[in-house]
Amino acid sequence: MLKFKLNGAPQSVDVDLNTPILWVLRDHLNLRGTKFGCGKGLCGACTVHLDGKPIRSCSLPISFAKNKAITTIEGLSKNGDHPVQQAWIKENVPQCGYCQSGQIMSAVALLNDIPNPNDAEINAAMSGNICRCGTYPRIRKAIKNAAKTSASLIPVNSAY
Amino acid sequence: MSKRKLNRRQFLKSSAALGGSLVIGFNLSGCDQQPHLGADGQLIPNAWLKISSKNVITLLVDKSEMGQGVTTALPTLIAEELEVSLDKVIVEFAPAARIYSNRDFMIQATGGSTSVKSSWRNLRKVGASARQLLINAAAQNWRVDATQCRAEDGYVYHGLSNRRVPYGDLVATASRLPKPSVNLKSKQDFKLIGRSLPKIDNFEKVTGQGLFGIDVDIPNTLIAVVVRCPTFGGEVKSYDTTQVLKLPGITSVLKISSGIAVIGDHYWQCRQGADALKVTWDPGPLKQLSSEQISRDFAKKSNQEGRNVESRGNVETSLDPNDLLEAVYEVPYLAHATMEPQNATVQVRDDGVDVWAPTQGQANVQEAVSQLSGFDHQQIKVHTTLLGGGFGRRISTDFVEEATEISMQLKRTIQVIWSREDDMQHDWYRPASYNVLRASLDPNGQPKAWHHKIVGPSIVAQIGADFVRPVLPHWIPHTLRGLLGKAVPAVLDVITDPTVVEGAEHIGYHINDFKLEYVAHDPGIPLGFWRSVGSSQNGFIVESFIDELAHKAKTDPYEYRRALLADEPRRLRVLDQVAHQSSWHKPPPAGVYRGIAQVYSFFTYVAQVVELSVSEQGEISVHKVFCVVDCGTVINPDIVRAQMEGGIIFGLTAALKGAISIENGAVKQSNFHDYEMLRMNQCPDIEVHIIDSDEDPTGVGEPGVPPIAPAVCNALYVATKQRIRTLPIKLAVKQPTEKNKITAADVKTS
Repeated sequence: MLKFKLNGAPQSVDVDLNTPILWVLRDHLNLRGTKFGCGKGLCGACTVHLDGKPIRSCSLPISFAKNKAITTIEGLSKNGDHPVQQAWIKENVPQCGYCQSGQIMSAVALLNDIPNPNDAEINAAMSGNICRCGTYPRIRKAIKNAAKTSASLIPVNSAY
Repeated sequence: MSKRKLNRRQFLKSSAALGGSLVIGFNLSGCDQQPHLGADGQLIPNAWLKISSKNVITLLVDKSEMGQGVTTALPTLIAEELEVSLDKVIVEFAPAARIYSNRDFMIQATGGSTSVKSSWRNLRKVGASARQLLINAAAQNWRVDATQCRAEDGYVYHGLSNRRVPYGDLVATASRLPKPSVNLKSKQDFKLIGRSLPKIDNFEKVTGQGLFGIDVDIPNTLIAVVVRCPTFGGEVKSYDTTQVLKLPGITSVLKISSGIAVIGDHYWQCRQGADALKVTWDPGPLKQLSSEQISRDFAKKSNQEGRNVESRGNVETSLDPNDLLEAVYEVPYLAHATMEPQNATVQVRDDGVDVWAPTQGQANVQEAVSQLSGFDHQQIKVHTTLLGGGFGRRISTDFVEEATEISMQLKRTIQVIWSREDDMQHDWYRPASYNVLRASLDPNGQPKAWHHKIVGPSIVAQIGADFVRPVLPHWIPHTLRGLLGKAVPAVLDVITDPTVVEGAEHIGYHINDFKLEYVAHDPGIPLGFWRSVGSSQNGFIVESFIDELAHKAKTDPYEYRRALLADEPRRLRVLDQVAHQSSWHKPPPAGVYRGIAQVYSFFTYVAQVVELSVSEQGEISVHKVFCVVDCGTVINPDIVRAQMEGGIIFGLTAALKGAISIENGAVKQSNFHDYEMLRMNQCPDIEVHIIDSDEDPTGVGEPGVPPIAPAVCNALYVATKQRIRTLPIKLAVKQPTEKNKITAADVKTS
């Protein structure tokens, strides 16, 4: 039995400890907002937070989560109204939407770290996340918008 | 907050519970069906709408949502005529049925930038017809003349008696009335069309609640991963399951048409099983094939005379051997790389089949599953999920066929999930092509002769049959359907595959002597439709070569195009506008270079100007793209802008990075480290301007793609004096110097 905190609540799983966090979330815990894109940590679609830091869950075994806190898109806000989610809606960011859970988790981690990032800092934090639909210009705008409301940003691992 | 669509749990609950019965309770037999009540008591004015007594209006969207915005744009058309706000319309995806056939394709499919174009009249009529039906119902209940009533914001009003009634209260009466004749609103009365209303699926997509194919979770589903022969056309010789079946969670290993399927409880376990599987392959006839060989064969074939596709005047006499500009342009195979890897969930039962899939082709899915399972089309229910990117990849049904075959053998619900590597190495690729262009200029520098010879494979010759069979009436038996499908190659003896020549045939520029030839040569790599299809290559080739002519004539490339587009007012308008937007006639900042291109594709006109710089290390930075689009009447300007932005980034990715290369008959690339995507740090600013127009709407999903590669290459020519004729772009010169960059002295001002 491996224990960790998931979206603020205690969680334990009985799985092969080499199973990537992504597949534990999707297949064992039925949290399917986190997406499978490449399986090699190259595209960022699977990004979740481990103790508040963005990680690629497709290539990190669940053993790494022992006694740590995982936050997924489902745990970001109760009503889908995290300032980053609101900024995404305001800028009409999503196209197909498949990569957006990962994009949002990376953006939230960035803003938790740097409340008012410049372009270079946005590039550094977001270039691990691929969007094949090409929503990058809107993601950049949405991050800047969300930064303006940074006062209302709550550090994500204490969202609940 | 935006109106939620059917959420994942509801979707699964309803679609799982429906089993073999019709997904929705109404008759789909014909277009002229009369209004009636559905099994659930809702008013069904026609096959696209349901109105409940609680005022819930549901639109069955007959197109797939892959990011292009149909679940916002199509409800807007209905809501406009039905006189309700957009947030009053709920969206469901239509089942597979003849009535939902795309009016541009004759089958139910999404692609070719046709969704709004093909729905523009029909869906407004659907909304207007329902509006008039509700007005007629209210008039009957009130015993007044219908002409005294009007509909607004979900109510029917009778002004004279100061009464109003919500639509929901009219459901019973309306269901007994005949379908009314309708008048469509005129443009000046539009309240919703033309406004940037927020996309209605934003909320589910920022909260992780959207249901993509990979998220489908039918109880008691087994997962399957398939190991396919790396070499195209290869087959399984033998395989050893000993190690695989010892692994936890693996329940079986099966041979299917495409390879060996490893089946188990969870994806991760199946993937490990697939890695442990030992397969010996017969690599088949393409085992020696390489990209270099393909290129050499194309070059050899280019010496042949091709089929005459388009010919005006006499190119051979007007091409001047002493003043001939000749160039070879080459483009590679490309993968779609949708962010959601291919997947499908299929349940084959004794009484029928249910398919849950992120598909662009419901009719193709029904046809393919019918062929495999022997069930009639009507017994095959297709549940369309959200698509994690489409770009043409998901019109193919290979992933559905795999799940169907396994489900037939195991009599279980099967979800097939591809890895990224599977996806990249077993795609249906954008065709490679090899192009010889020749031109001569008249004494004024204008082109008097243009000769373009295309050498390459044809998508329609390879997979056209897959699109003919679904068009056939369902009563035609399977064997005959197969034979009729095979007639496609014979048709191509008479006509040329339009996807090969689009963008090269009608180039818009006034040239007296013009010839387009095609030499068919197919190396055997599987082909598919890739965002903007033939124009993705031909736009690059034509707009680069015309730029070469402009520079040879020492004329500004914008002015050169202008002079040749006098008979093409809509092309000219986007070109002029983009020159204006980009301040073309003012010099760019030091070290920044501009390129221009315009391409007409999918009935839409797009012009783009690129501003870029080249570092001392030869790295290209595209700073800014100006884009002007004329797509007729605009339903939702922000969606048009988003599609232009996305198309530009898609095309820029291909221009700077995209190549699928072949080695020993297999694709060399496997994941995003060697088939790279443009990322945030390389993404330019994009400024989109939309031409105001009263013309009928045309597509926007694809037309943003073709102009970007030539605009970039044309800017690189100014920066480095290097003409890029092979994609992806590789610069030989490291940095622009005063010697090799184009200066004002090289360009005549007009």
